[in-house]
Amino acid sequence: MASSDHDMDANVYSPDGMVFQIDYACKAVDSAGTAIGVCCKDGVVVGVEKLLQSRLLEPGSNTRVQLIDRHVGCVVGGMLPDGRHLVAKAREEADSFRRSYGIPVSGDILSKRLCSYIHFFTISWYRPFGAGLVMASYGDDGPQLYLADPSGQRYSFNGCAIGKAKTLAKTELEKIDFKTITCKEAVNEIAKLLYLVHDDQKDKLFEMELAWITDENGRRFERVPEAVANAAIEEGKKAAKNKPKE
Amino acid sequence: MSRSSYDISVFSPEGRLYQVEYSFKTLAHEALTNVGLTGEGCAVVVCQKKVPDKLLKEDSITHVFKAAKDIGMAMSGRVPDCASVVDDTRHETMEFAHDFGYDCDVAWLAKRMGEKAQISTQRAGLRPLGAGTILFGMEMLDSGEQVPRIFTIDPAGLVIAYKATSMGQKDNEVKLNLEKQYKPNMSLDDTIMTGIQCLQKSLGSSESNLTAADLEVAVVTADNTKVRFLDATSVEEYITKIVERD
Repeated sequence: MASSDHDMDANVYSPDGMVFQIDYACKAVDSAGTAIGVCCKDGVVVGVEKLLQSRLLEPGSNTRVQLIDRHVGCVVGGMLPDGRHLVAKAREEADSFRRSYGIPVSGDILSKRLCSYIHFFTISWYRPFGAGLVMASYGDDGPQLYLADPSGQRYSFNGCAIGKAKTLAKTELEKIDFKTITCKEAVNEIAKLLYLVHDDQKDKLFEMELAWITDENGRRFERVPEAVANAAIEEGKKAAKNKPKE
Repeated sequence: MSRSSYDISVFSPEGRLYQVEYSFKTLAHEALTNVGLTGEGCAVVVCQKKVPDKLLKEDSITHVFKAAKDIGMAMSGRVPDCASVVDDTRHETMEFAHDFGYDCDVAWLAKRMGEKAQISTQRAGLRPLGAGTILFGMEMLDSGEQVPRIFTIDPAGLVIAYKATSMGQKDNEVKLNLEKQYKPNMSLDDTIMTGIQCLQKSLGSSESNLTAADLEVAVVTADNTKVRFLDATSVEEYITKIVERD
């Protein structure tokens, strides 16, 4: 398959029926820091390994965790500027839904609308978005975790991972029992996972961002409180030290 | 390759539209096959179902959708493109009902979606959506009789009505099996079993051991024109009956 051919536009098929621009856009997501989401029985937890370009950056700036509505939030994987645009769009959709129907939008409908927006950029002369959103929501339909990727594909997950170490992260996620895990346990799991899959050689500097939406915090998408987050990060660091050397 | 293989709006010197031909290759991408059949007062679709990732919520995976309460569509091809076609088809049925005050019939809808698909084969800038549809429903004749209808709509906009057909990876194999086994005007049970069996025979040995989890079956009948999905128990019963029959 000569992938250097037929790969200049999103509206061009290759002889095998692939649209390479979309695949390349997905690769852009895969070359950024790992983002993980876990759908628990009492809520959803998301976390991201935010890679830092320099020590001079203010901690907590350039956040990858974004609020969409009170009960929906997401973590941006891939190119942050593209991701911000998608978040802005998602916020518009959530707001317009509230205005039209008087109730908060469900994760299902919001992710569907966002994905058809993303899909629009994969059929014509636009460049597809180089960002994927791991969307967490907790409405009347229960805790939901959706992944909106650059192709416009949308699936509902029990656990998902995107970014550099997604394959490794997914293997570890499969070990979780999603029926019984609670959000507090998931925070520790995610922190542990992110430290486990983090490549210390290539990306020394990183910050972990954790956010959740649970029964306990009134089903609001919020950053995991510092105390809980720091405890999880300590656990994560320990797990990383015990990581079997390759 | 010449420019005709890149641009949708360019014929090749032999009079072929390569981009349109390449778009057909997408129907086999997901390695799934759908079968549609008509019987005595019934139209049935049997779709293969695979959950590509263990972390996915299984009930969020489906390839059969309702376009209107009594018109269903079974999709093959790229998932985001299929989602877009489903949305568009739903929009068309709603618009028709709004404008004319009654529900459109399957034949009209099939032709309309075919026309829409054709636009992107002639207009530069858009790529044909990699989505193939099997549209199914009951059509009421002037005499009041309900007749089952199955239409296929391919990415190029070709609309064909069938007694029985297939779309997807193993479509040719299934069609060969249908030609041997299918008889018009079979009962609902026989139609469903023929569909499942022709699908089973066309799959490789690793996949042909079908269980209810690997299938989605949807029906419309003359006495209840609403699109219904068979539950897992009913599908298992049919699979068992097939084994006993042989």
